[in-house]
Amino acid sequence: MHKVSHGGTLTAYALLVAATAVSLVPTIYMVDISLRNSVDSFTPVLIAPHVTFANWSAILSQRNLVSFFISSALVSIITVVFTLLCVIGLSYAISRLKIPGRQLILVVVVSALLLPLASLLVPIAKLLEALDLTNNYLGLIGPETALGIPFGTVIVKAAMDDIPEALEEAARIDGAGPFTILVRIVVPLISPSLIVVAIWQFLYSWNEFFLALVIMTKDALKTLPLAPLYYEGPFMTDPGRLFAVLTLIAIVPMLVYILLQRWFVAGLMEGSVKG
Amino acid sequence: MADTITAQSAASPALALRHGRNYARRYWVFIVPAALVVLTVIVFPWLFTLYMSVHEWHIGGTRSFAGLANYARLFTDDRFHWAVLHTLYFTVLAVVAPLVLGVAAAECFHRNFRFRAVARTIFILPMMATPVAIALVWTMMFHPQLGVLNYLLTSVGLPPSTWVYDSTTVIPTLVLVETWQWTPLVMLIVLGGLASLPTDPYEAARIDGAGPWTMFRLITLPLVWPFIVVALVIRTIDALKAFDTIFVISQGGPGTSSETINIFLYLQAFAFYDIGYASAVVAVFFVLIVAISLVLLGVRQRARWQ
Repeated sequence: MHKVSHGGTLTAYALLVAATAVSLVPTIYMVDISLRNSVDSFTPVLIAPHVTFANWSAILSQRNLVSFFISSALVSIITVVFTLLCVIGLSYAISRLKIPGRQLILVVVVSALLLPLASLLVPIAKLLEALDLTNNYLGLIGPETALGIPFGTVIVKAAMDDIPEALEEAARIDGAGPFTILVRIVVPLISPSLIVVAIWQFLYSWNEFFLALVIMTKDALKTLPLAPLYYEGPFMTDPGRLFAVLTLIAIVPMLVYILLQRWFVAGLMEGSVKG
Repeated sequence: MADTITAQSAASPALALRHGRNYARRYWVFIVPAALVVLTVIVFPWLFTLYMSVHEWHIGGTRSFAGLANYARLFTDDRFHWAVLHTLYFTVLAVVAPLVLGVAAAECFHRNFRFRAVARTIFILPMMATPVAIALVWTMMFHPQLGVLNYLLTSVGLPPSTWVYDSTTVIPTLVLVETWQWTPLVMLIVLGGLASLPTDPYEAARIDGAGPWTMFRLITLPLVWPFIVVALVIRTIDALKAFDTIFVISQGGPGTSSETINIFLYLQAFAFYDIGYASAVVAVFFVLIVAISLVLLGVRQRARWQ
């Protein structure tokens, strides 16, 4: 849509370049400090003159960081799969099968969006202790799945509401049961919204810090966002290694986004149109 | 939303009749996984919180029924009152700034220009940054002498700031981090709205000789208003719940000058081990969030009627 004069576009372009440059500052700074030598690390400049990979080779040679990485990847991927299964089932029951009590279920699930995780930390920790799930991946996967269900249900239910009744009707006449209809017809039609939910949930799970801090006390099971705690001591003496760790943590969700952004951006914009 | 629900209810008796009761019962299978997880990890802990809130309960100590004593204490606890004010102050700023910038950015990204896709990718990147990791980066950047921000400010001739090291600047500074991270989300929502707008009003306005600002104010803004309200609701809830970045960057300090309700209740539970009191804070906090959300949803309904 070309709706403004050339002057307006130029101003917009200049503003955008400025805004984008500013928004990149923390990321550039983070990567740059991870590449500095210990002399440069305190120079208050955005980009230091000397580049060294010493910090990177130091942190990557430590075995516990590799195990943190594997824990994070496992927990995030399994959480995404569980969340998708739960959200698809729940949305299908509410939107297409119209189970009795669906309004109440929807209200309960959506109101969970309003609950801050910090406020549930104590009871969740106590519950996991009682179930013997502390220091267990399931102790993270369960709560993270539950906390992802509200957002996922809002998005996926809205997508399912748009599927015309006639499609299902035709399949039903052919003798397809609700499960077959879900797998063969509904899921393929709503796949854009499923991708949004999957990416969103991956980000949330990968970035999750406080639950992991409370639940995971054994080194072998810790997730990557806990790793900076091991490097915070030298925060103000030698930040290079800490910032290499931070870059390693932050780079994964950024890469996931860059690889999948086409679907993510389109899905999110489409979702916002439906409200 | 209301009309779709009525449409669904109208369809459901016919469905139930056609398939009979047994068939309907099988539907429950689909919600079992979600119900199981939500009941265990959200509903039960929430009810347990209410139970704890009416008890005198310290970690490792005794517990006894306390009635509403924990709630009564909230009324006289100045530190809690300040936490409420800090939360509201933080929330208003952390909603308004990303909304204004997000709408402006969406308006820019709605135009065609070279490298638009690349620019958009970079612009959205902060949204993906791990809050705990990026909060440490900001902490380093805020350092008055060693940080890069004061270097950048002074190099363009601006005075340095005290950032998170002074009680008057700490909350606006935390809002800066929040704005950096969440402006892209507002931009995406509003961009979705802009993409769905009709072109005719603009054609008509241009023939009438309207300038870009007039067109934005009189055509774009009213038309995308419902989308802005969606972004407003999402941002408000997220800002009220903000925790990770505040906790890592300022821990509520200096002193208690950036202590929001979330930080306050976390400290009550995990620093002072006063779980009963912390639970009462959770209950009141939740009521506050629900109340604000209901007001905003009212605004949203009205935005849709227009």
